[in-house]
Amino acid sequence: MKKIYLLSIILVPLLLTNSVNAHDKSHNDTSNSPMFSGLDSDAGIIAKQFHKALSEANAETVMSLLADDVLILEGGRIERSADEYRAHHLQADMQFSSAVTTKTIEHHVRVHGNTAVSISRSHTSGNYKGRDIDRTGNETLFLTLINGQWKISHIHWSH
Amino acid sequence: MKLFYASCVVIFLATSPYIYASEQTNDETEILEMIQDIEKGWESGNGMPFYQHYLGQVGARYIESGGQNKGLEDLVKNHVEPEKEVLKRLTIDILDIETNVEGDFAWAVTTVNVSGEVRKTGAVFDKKGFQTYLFRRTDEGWKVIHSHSSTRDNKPHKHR
Repeated sequence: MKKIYLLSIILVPLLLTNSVNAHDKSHNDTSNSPMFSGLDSDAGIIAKQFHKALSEANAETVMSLLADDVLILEGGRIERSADEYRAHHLQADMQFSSAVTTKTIEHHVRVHGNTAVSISRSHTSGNYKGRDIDRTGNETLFLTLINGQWKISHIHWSH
Repeated sequence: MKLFYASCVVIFLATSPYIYASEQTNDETEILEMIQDIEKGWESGNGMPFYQHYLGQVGARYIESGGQNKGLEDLVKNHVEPEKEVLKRLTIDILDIETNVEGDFAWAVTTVNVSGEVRKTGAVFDKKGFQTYLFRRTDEGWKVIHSHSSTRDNKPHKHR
């Protein structure tokens, strides 16, 4: 508890809940698990497409799923648009995601009118640039229905 | 009479944006105050702001890195309140807050500095990070339905 101090808490109400790191390579059968819900909704499908595109290093699809003014938080960094993300960290994130193995532990998507929330946890393992990776990650996605299409307008990644 | 109706329409059209803006401002003010309450709760190890502002659904989980608390009471009793025993000092400075209200749903992102001192070891820490809060409007006002926090030591960012 003390090692993280308080600010690394993540509140995951079951009504919204859960999981997937953006860096998801696994696609398990989750249809009957209480750890997975809402994934068949339109917003849930978008969230899964996003994870898949990152793990397959498909930049075009990743960009197509982001709102122009997406706000992305990871660690101490912040990016305030899709263009900024593409210019800065998209390539690194795709390289990392495609190099490691990520297993989704939980993933829940809840739709509230024209907005939706995707919350997920995942475990990532492997080796990246000579560094062993073995960690649990958390992701919050906020999606907005824009002109009839779900777009990711906010991402928060942590591990 | 036509002039009267026309005046009413003009007045309505002229004032409605301000009414809407006022509602937006009220929402954002309420949310800001909630976040400030919660941060004070963390700093003082006081669970009351959490009971007051979190929706606390049955079965809710509160995940902290690899661990998690199950339910709001578990979060307060096993995380919030013990902090005051573990930490001699904890300060959370909110550097920035961005709030977005979408009908009965809202989200806010805060940029924070977190510093403190561990009571047992005397170790001090100084971190910068972000918090994402998601809110739902209820009959009792806005309630936090999800929060996600992450911090990192205050040092220059390195690419992966």
